[in-house]
Amino acid sequence: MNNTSENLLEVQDLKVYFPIASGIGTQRGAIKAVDGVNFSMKKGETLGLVGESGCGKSTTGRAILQLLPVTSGKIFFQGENLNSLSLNQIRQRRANMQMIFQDPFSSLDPRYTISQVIAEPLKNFRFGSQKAMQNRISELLELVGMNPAYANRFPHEFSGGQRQRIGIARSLALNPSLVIADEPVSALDVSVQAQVLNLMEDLQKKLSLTFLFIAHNLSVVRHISSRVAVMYLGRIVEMTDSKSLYAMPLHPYTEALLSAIPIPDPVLELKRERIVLKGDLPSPANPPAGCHFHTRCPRAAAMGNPEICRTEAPQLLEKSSNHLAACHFADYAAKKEG
Amino acid sequence: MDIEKKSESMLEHEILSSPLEMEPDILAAEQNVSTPLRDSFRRFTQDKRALVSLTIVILMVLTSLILPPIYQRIGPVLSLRHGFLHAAPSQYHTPWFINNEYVDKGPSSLYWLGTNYLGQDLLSRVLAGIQVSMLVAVMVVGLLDVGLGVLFGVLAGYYGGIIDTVLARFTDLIFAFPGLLFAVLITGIFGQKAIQTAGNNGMLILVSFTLGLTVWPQMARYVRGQTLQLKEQQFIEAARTTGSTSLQIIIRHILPNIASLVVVAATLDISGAVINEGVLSLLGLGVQPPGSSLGLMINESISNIAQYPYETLLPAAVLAVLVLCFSFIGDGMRDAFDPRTKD
Amino acid sequence: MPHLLEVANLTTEFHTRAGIVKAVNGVNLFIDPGETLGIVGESGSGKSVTALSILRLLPTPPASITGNQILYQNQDILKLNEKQLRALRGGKISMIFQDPMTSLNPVYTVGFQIAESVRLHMNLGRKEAIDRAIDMLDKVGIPSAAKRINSYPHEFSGGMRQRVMIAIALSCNPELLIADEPTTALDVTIQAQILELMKGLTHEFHTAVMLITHDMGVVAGSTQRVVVMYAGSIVESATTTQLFAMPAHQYTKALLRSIPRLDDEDGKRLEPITGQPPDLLHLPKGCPFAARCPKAQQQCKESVPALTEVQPGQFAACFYPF
Repeated sequence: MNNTSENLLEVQDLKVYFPIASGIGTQRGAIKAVDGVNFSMKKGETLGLVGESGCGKSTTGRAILQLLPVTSGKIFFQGENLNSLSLNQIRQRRANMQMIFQDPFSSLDPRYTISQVIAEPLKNFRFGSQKAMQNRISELLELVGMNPAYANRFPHEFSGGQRQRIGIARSLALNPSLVIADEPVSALDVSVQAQVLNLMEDLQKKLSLTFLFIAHNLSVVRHISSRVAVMYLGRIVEMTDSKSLYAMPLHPYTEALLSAIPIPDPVLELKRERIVLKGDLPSPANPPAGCHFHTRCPRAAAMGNPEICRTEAPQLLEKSSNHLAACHFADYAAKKEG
Repeated sequence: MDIEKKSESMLEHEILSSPLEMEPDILAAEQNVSTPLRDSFRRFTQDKRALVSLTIVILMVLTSLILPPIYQRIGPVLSLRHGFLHAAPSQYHTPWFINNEYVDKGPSSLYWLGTNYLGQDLLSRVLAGIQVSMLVAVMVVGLLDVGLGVLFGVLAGYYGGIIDTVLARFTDLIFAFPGLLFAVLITGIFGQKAIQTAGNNGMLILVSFTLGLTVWPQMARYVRGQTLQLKEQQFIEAARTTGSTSLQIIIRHILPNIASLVVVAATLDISGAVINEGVLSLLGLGVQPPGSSLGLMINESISNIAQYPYETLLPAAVLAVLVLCFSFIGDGMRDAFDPRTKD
Repeated sequence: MPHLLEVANLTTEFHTRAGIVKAVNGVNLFIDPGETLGIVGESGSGKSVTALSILRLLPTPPASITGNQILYQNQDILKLNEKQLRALRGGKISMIFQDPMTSLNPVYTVGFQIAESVRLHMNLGRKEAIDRAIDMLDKVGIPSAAKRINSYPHEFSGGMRQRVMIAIALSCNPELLIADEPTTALDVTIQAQILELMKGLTHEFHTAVMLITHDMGVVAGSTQRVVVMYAGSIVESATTTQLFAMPAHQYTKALLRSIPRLDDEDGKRLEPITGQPPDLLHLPKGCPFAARCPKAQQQCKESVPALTEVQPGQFAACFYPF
C-alpha cells in the first residue's frame, strides 16, 4: 500500500496541536498548527515547504525530527515509524536526520569555539579519538568553504553567512541522510544568501543529501527545490514539481502567493497582474470550516462563493500527473489557462 | 563505525574537488583572539571601583588569616594582679582573653586597636569577626544559595511542570515572609540546642543554614528566568538534534551560559549575608561570647556608645567596608558580563 | 522645480570604544515632490541611518552628523532647534518603521494615537481629530473604522498594525513619507497589500516617499528612482527602469545577478558575490566594493571613485561602469 521502502521519508496524516491553557489547568482549545499533512520524499531530492508565517511549515519540520510532541499521524523514516520509538531510540536516529537553523546568531552557543560546536554531535555518537575528531572538523570546515585555521575562534567573530556555514558543517558532521533546513537563508543579507544556497546545492550533489527546505520565500524555494509543497493554515494545499507549480498553479492560494512576490524587473512588474488577497490569515486556533482558504479565496468569490467550499474540506488529490492540489475547483485554473 | 566508513568516502570526494568559495582571510589580520570570558575580564579590570573593592576584600581576608599568629608573638609578658600572674601575647592577643586591668583602652603599642569593656583585644576580635563573616558568606552563598538556587532554578526552567510550580509557590512564601524574621525565629528556637551540641561552630552553622534558606529562592528565580530564555535559543534545539541528552544540554550549554549571572547574583548576595549575620549577632542570636563576630562586637559596645563610640564604630566600619566592597564587586561583575555594556 | 528635500554631503559617524564607525559617508541625494525614491542596500549599508539622520532622530552622542546641509524646502534641518524639529517630524515629514509590533504604544487606543498626532500638527479640536482618525483608518482599509478606533494595538494583526502606522503617518498630510523597510516583517501576501495601499494613498495625497528596503523586487515595483547604497556610500543612482535595464555599478550588477528570481530558468546557478561587506570601522582606502569586485583594478584599490553621470539621469561611483 505504501512504498516506504523506496521513500526516505513518508509523513502520513501528521497532526500537531498545541493546547491553549486557560488559567487553571483546563484546556480551552488547541492551535492546529499542523492539521493532517501527507507527503513523502525520495532519497536525494529537495522538497520545498513554503507558506506564510503560521502555516505550520516549521512545526512540520520539527515534528519530523521529533523535537515536539506529535498529536497523531505516522512519520516513516527509512521505513521505520518514528512515532513508535522511545526517546532513546529517537536519539540514536538523530545521526541520520539533522537540521539547519534559521538564526545564525542564536544557533551557535556563544561560549563554544567553532571546533567545539562541530565536535558536539561527534562526541554524542562517539566518533573516535581526539585526533580523528580534529581531522573530521577540519574536513567539515573545508567542505563548507571555511578556513580550518579558524576552528578555535568564537562565533561572534564571524559574519552571519559564515556562521550559517558553521551551522551547516555541524549538521553534516554525522553524515545524515535527511537534512531539514528551516529558513536557512532568510536571516542573511541578499548578497550572502546566494553563497549559502549554492553551497547547499553543491553539498547535496556531493553527499547525495535529501533536503526538506522550509522557507517563506518562493523565489528561493523554487530555485533550490525539485518539488514544492505549499502550506496554508496547517494543510498542504498544493504539491508538485517546482516547474509546474510556477508555470501553472492549480490552487488559488498558490496563485495569489506567486503573484504577490515582487520580481526585480520594473518592466515586468508593471505588466504583471497582481492578485491582492483580502484580509488577514485566520487564526489557526479557529480555522474556517470547509476549505481553510475560502474566506480569502478570489476564485470562490469569482464563482459566487459555492456552498461546498464552506462546508467540505477539499482533499489533496492528483489533478494532473504528479500535480496535487486541494481545491474543489482546481480545474478552473486549467480551463482558464487553456 | 558506519559513520567513519562514510567519512572516508567523503574524504575522497574532497580530494577530487576543491573547497567551495573559500572565504577570504579577513580574520587573519586580527591579532588577539577575543573570547567572551576574556572580554568580560577586560571590562572588569577597567572598572576601578570594583578592582579597588576586590583588593580591599582580599587584603582584609589575608590580614585576618596571617596577622593573628604574628600579632600573638609581639608584646611583652604582662604581670597581672588578678587571675593569671603572667600573660604572654599569645594569651592576651586573642579574641577571648579578658584583661580587667586594661578595660576600654584606646589604641596603644600593647593593644594595637585598643580593648573593649572586658579588656579584650579589639584587633583580634575584629580579625576573628572578619573570618566569621567570610565563613558565613561562603557557607550561605557558596553552598546553599548557589547550590540550591542553581539546582532548582535550572530544573524548574528546563523541565517546567511540577518542579516549576512548587518553586514558584515556595518563593512566593519566602517573599511574603521577611527573611530576617524567619532567621530570628529559627535561631531563637534552635540556638541553645546548637550551642550545646557544637558550641559557636554549631551556632555559625545554624545561622548560615537559616540565612541560606531565605536567599536561595531568589537565586533560583533568576536562574529559572535565564534558563527559560536560553531554552528558546536555537543552539539548545541544535544540541538536541545532534543527539545530546537533556543532562548533557544542561551541563554543556545551560550551566556555562548562566554562570556569569550566578556569579554576579552570588556576589551581591554575599553582602546581604554579611549584613544579616551581623544583625543576628547584634540581636544576640548569632555567635555567643566569648566568641567574636562583627555584629556581636557592636552588640557588646552599643550600651557604652556615648562614652566609647570608637568601640562601636570600629566593627561597624569594618562591616560597612566589607558590604560595600562586595556590592561594588557585584556591580562591576554585572557590567563586565553584560554584553550590552560592550561599547 | 525646486527639490522637496536635498541632502548634501551627509556624513554620520558613531563614536564607539572600538573606534569611529562611518555609517554614512558623504551622501548626496534629493527627492522631488510626489515622487517615490527607493534606497536599497544590505544591512550595514547605511540606508536606515541616512533616513534617521535626515530627521535627526539619532542620539548624539554616540552619533555625530556632519554635512553641508539637509535642505527641506529651503530650510536647513541641521540648523533647526528642537521645537522646530518636532513640528517638522510627523507634520511635514513622517516616518513608518519596520516593526509594526513596537512602533505603536500598547497602552493607548489606535484612535487616540492618530488623533494625538493630528491635534498636535494640524491644530484640530478633539472632535475633528477623532473624525480625522476614523477617516484615515477607513482610508487604509480597516473595516468598520468607527468601531476599531477604540481598539488597542494588540487587537490588530501585524498587517493591520502597519496599516494603522500608515494612517498615523499620513494623517497630517505630510509632504514626505520616509518608510524604513515597511514590509520586511510582513508575509508576502500582506506585503503586497501594504505596498498597493501605500502606492494608492501617496498618489492620492501627492506625497513624496523615501522607500528604504533591501528587496530589489519591492524597489522594482514601487519606485520611480533608486539610490543604491553600499558600506555607507551611494554607489549608484538612476531611474528605476535604467537601473534594472542596465546597471552601471559593479555592485548593483552583481547584486541583481545574485538574487534568486521567481522567473529564473530552471537549473540556473546563482552567481553569488564572494566575501563580505567591509568593516565600517576600517573602511578600505579605495572603492568599498573593490575587494569583492570581479572587475577591480589597481586604481580601484587606491582611490575612491566619485559619483559621476554615466548616461543621462544615471550616476555611478565606479571607474569601470557597465
